[in-house]
Amino acid sequence: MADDNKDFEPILVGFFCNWCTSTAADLAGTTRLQYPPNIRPIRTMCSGSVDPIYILRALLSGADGIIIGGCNPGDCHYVSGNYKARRRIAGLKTILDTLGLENDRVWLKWISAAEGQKFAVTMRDFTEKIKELGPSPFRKNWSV
Amino acid sequence: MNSKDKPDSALVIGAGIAGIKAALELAELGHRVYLCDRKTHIGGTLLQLDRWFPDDHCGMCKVLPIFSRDRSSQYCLRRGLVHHNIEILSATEITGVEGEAGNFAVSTATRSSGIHPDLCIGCGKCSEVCPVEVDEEFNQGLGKRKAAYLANPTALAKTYTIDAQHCTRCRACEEVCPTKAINLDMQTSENTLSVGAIILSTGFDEFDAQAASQYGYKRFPNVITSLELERLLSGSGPTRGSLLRPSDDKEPQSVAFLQCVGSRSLERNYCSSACCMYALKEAIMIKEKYPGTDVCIYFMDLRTAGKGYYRYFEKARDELGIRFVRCRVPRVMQNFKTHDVIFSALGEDGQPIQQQCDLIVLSVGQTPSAQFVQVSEMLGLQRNRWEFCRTRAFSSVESLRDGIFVCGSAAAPKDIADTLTEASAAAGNASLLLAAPGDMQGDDQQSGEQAEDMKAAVFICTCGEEITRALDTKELVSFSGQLAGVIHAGEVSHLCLPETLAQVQTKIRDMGATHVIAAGCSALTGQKLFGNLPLEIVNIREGLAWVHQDNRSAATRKARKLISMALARLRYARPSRTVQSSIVSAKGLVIGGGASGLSAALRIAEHGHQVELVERSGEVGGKLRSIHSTLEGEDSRALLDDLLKRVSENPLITVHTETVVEHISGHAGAFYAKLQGSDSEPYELDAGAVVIATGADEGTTTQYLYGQNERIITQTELEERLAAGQMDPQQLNSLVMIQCVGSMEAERPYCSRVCCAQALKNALQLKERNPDIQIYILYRELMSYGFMEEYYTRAREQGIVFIRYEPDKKPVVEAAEEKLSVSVNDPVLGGAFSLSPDLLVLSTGVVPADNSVLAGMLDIDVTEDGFFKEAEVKFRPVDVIKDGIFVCGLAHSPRNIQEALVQAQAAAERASLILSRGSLVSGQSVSEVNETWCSGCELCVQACPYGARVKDADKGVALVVEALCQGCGACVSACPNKAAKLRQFTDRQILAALDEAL
Repeated sequence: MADDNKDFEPILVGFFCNWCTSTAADLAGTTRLQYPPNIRPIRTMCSGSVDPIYILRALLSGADGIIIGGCNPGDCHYVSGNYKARRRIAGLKTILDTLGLENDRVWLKWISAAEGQKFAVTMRDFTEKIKELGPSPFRKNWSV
Repeated sequence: MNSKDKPDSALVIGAGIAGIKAALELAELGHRVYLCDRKTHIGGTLLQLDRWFPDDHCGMCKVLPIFSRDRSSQYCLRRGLVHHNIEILSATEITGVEGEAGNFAVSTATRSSGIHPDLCIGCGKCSEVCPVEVDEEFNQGLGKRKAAYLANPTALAKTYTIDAQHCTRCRACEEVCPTKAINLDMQTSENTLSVGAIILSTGFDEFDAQAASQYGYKRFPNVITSLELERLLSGSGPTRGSLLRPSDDKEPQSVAFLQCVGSRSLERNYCSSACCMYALKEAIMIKEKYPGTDVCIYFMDLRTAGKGYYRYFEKARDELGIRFVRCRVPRVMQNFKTHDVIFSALGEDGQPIQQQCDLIVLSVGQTPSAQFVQVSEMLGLQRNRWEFCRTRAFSSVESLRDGIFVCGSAAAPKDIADTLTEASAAAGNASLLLAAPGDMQGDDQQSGEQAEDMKAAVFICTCGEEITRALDTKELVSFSGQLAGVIHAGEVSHLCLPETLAQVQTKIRDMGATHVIAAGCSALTGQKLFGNLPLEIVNIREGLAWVHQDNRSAATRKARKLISMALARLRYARPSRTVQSSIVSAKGLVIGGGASGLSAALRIAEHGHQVELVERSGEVGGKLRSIHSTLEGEDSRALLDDLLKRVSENPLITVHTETVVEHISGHAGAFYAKLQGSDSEPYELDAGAVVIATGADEGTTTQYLYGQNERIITQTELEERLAAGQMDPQQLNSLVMIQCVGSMEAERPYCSRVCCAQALKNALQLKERNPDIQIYILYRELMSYGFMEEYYTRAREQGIVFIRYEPDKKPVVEAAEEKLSVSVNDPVLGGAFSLSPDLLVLSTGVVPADNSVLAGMLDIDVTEDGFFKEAEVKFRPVDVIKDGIFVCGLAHSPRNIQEALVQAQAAAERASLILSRGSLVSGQSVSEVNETWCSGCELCVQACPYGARVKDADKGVALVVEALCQGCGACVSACPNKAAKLRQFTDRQILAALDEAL
């Protein structure tokens, strides 16, 4: 599997909260930390407003991986949005299991405003992980 | 003076978190504010810290306004602050002040940073070519920077600065700057500001640990200060968050914290109040990241005298295994081969302690900032013997000069929560001196109707070569031009430059574009670039060109995607709009008539609003009636008389005694309450804001034979008897006080904060009246924080004996006939001994009243300890999460009169902020409900943290209280029927963008 994926460039979508993770993404830029260009960011006000439907729709439409970035536990500008995200993503992952999709295709990460490095490293790791997993089976089946 | 001549602006000196908060409070009241700082950026010490005790969170952004949100920036404060009423004067010093309260003329000198802020594009070329390397302040000298540098790496506007002191004038940067923004002939420009009031929020300087040579700071590489440790643990620090010791970049296996470095010494005999707690926090941060590391805190007293602080200590000790060792006379040596550090001291029992460790962290205290000392000279302010600002009795925010206020560590060392409380109070005081602000309704008005067809203009910034180096902007332009709905796509060189921006704006107008996409850098974020036209910013610099430098085709592909996504999002954007919900009542309701309630009511009335004050008992005054003086010798009876007189004379205040709140409901701007007096008809009222000041009680106990012997009394009973002359100190030979009776124990795991000061006060007074009396104070941790330390010293000088006891070896009290006996184990002498006092005095602490009924009616929370819970421990210290409700005094947490009064002023200030508005204006991005699809399941009501979702019982659907909605979208993702949507972030917009992304 791993060999087939050498040239595979995954399509990745990131939902990043306005307050922490978007600031971290900016800081990564300021400090010129390099990470793969596969990730396509969508800014949301809060990780808690990422509807699981967005994620399912993305996966069904051909995304190979989804990453959600929010504030550290307790840091949420909206008090508890990141906890809501945590519950929702945990629930969603059980659905992915049922569908037979590797639940590692969906990541939820806490990246604070000061963590530019963590942002870049996480994007790198995520891209690597999805490369390892290969193209989403949804993409394969539907491209027939 | 005619009020028209009075300035309506204020000056805030020091743009740390206190200054930011004070400025925001004034700006929200409608005043103009100059926020000045010596540095080139705002944020102060907090920029260097990642998280705060006692909940290990970051939360700076919570300082931003709740109402009329869109008037200030909506992003992390580390990136900067924009508010239309605040003018930030960076790199600015005060050079002179004339005039008086209500009308000051302040001269300022702004030094040029060498780089024109409007022209700097933040590319960093100047820094690359600069040959000078110096220690980097942001990382406490743990890293290097150039003389041309970016002082705050998180700032949105990445404006570089030239360090005039170290710049060699080689002019290499001038040549390389693509926008000719650099001019090394730095001039200082002078200006005069006309302001009605001045707030000093100059913060503190760290104690210079080199001045205490026994610690080996700067001589031994592995001895660092607490702030240096913060940088080593920070994701934005020199090691990107890895704790590596300076000598060899190894992860330390053992870390020792030394407390009271520069505090509680002969030269600085005060407690810096925050160090015990930040040491705990840093120790916890290390333990959580490196569980195997041995972490030990060496201390004298562990001062956990704040809300939730003792529980935090218990977590550190019991859950994380951090060690705590009491010691004195510390010194540090090092092994010159390994650079390991050796700590030695005397233990509490007098035996020597020695530990070899990998890293030593000095918990350095707070000293008055040099800036404060200088500015206070100019302003003619008096300073205390430690050079902090002297303030008025019972008002820690008023300097001795009219019209000049202080907040934060300018007047005494403080932690963040107290600092922000003071900032609100200081702003309230300042506001009273200013001319009434103009139109309070000055919020954004609704913009026009949406055009039928989207005519989007796309501008792609090349940022000189910054963007073109990594991606093909030409291709991006031709790609964008072909997208449906785009009428223009063009390249610009520097979109952020005022000249370019003006050209682009004209172009947009001329071509009649209805929507705009600006692709460029992050500095474009949050600016009103093109009026009210729907706008999407695509960050192709920090989010693309700078992070994908080595794959041009992939980067260009990604940029194309991002443009398509932005366009998709714009296609379904609706014009911006805000909702005004009118205020039902401009009246304040204060619940509780103690010192806090009275003073909150007075302050709200001083702002010109009617106040109804409800007191359960027959008379107002509360606990203040049983306090006769303070430790500092201030006259609390005079304070009580003054409060009572001013309240009774104020026509705006109505006092209801023997009255309880029987019902209360509603939200900010529109509360409805029903009051019930003991022998009158129910009284109904509407209120715009509620201040809770219901107080707390002195604890009761059955420990130590209390209640069984008349020679055993509480501290408050002792104070009463002394004041009433019922007790003759001459008749007493010896007296024992026991502290922490019921506090910091399993049933009440918090410090009651006031008892140590009360014990010191009573003991010193007894000693004054009978110097021969033998007084023993049995304590656990002596909480003489701040300037109280001096009284602790004085007490010991006067022969008062302090004996510490462990909670598992409490003193044992026995009573026989006429005699009491108290036996206690003395850890210093290492044995038990027995005392036979004439009187035993117990410090029974503070217990919260039963707050559950009121909390239940208001639908707000109380803490585990039973006090009202604030919205955010540090950054919204007097707000309750449900907007429009504020809490102060003992109902909030144990605190002394002075602290309660400043908190009451802060709460009143926050309440007045709502009452002063004719209406509450929502942000542009708020939730909406499609009532046809709403099934009334109320999941959104549960999901909303702000109480902004309510169910309309008649219609059976859930509604949005727009003024309270903060636009998080929690209700949108909770709604099972898709009946809720968030303006500007609708499902349609996000799904459209998502489709384009794939």
